[in-house]
Amino acid sequence: MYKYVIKRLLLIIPILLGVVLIVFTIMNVTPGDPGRQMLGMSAPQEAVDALNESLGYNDPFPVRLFNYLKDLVRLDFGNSYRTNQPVFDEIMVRFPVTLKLAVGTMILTILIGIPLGVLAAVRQYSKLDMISTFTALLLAAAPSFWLALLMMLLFSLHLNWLPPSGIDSYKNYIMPVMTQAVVYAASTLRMTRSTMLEAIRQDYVRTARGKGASESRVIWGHAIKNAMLPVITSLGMSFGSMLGGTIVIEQVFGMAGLGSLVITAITTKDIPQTMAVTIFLAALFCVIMLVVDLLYAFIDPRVKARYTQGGKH
Amino acid sequence: MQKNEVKTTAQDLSEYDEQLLKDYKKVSQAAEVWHRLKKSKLAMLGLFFIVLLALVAIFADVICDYETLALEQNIMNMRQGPSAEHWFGTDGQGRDLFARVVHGARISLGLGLACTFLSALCGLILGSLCGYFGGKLDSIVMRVLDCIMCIPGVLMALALVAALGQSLGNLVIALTISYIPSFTRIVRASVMTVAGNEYVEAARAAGLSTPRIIAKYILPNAAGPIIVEVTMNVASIIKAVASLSFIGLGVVPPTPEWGGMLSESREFMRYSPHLVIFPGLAIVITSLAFNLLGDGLRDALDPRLKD
Repeated sequence: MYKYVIKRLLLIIPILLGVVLIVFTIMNVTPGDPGRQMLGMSAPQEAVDALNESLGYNDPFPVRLFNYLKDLVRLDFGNSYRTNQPVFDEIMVRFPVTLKLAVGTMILTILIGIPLGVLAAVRQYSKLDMISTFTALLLAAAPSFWLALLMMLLFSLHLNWLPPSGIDSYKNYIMPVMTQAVVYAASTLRMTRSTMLEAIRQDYVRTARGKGASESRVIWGHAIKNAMLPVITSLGMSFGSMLGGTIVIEQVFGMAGLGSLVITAITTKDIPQTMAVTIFLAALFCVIMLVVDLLYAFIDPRVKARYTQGGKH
Repeated sequence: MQKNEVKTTAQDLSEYDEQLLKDYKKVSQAAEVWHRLKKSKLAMLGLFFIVLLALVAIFADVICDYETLALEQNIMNMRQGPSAEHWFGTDGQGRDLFARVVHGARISLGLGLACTFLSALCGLILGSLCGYFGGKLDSIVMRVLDCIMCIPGVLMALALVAALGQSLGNLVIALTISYIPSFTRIVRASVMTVAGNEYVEAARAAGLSTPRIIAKYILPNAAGPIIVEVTMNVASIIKAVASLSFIGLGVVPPTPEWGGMLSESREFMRYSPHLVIFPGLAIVITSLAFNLLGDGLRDALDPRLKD
């Protein structure tokens, strides 16, 4: 098991290298140069040229890439072109905001999506099933930023309960978390329902009933374990993409998280900052997917057996 | 002798097969799926809305004039509520919101379908090659796609739009690249399941060329999950286009695009909520329609649910 984890962690390195190659190339073919961005439109051309030269921006692309990789090996991510501070300073300031958003969303998503999905499956075609499935269908179709606007309209502008933007208090997180959770819970509910419907028709569920287990034990103790596997994968992926994908929601609610940092960095051609955020998010995504795979082993003994008996995985 | 010759050469087999495939497909697969799809009321509702939206998009110019109603600013008529003259009211520049939503269908639906088509096409080619040949090609392509999947989609699209410049075409390219990995994976998985079957082996033994085997034997049999994935992804791509326009990338104003319209209307939403409600509803209805059709197709194509 430990061997497997270490192997997977090592496999992250080539993936990150690939990510670096892709994003570095995209960032470097972008029109415009960092010198002009940093000094502004009115700066003299000579100063801009000198700055570009000192940043190494005038070197040919392969040289720049090589230099960047050389610094990366020493874990030197460089300074932001915009603030001239080490890039991870900014990331560490912004990350808690995004993390709080993502974790809050995740908790709410699980609390709403999974129980309702299970209930909808157990009582298929009941009123509860109809209502929750239909609502989920509707909400899954709505873009999150639109729901955010509607919520803002209701809670901030008309009822005046919650602040429309900022990150000053916990109240600022209520609407963004609710908006995202509603969307993710909708898809989680739909998925849980369909995997549960499949699980409760399996033989081992009938066996459990036959042995006299109570109905709630059959559902929450036996059936749910198998039904959860695909749901966990999708939740894990949602969590990973949420860390980098709260860009739009952060923009709507004016929250200074990683998402807004990405937008600023990309539009101001702040290459070191963009690269650092990308690497950070990609690494997080890989780790989360690894955790998801390990969670499988805890839930499903068959998967666990594969790891511990020195299976090929 | 000529007449009684047993059909063994590749040429003969493929001709025979083509005929067989024609007859078979017509009476069986497509018709059967359609037959089962028709039973699902929700799927039919989705299809109805898709056809309706497509008609609106095609005949947008007939419904209301683009230049005078959707583009021309009219300061005297700013931010009116819905009325008989302006069904959805007017926006911050006094343009008829109904006309803009109608013309937005053309842009949003067009962009969504273009991205879906392109990424599905790339996914189809890459996925079937990887799934069929396996080996080195497969591992190289899959590792590259793993890398792309680790980069958050919005970040990737943002960087690409920044690199290529802001235009409709570049938005399509950016989103297409973001969606290629998931399509490729689905196609690859379905192709791999089908490629192990005996009839593929038989076709190979008969000496059919590889592209022919993939096109005639593998893809038709692997089509089910791919079609479902494509349909479901239209909704998510349409939402992605809207999100990107909303944060100011993608479609340039004054082009009427639903996401862009929402972004323009934000500042007025307190006193003119209709400005954010109607374009948003348009997005919801569109993606709902594709999701409903996708759900229906998934059930109709699932052999386990056959009666």
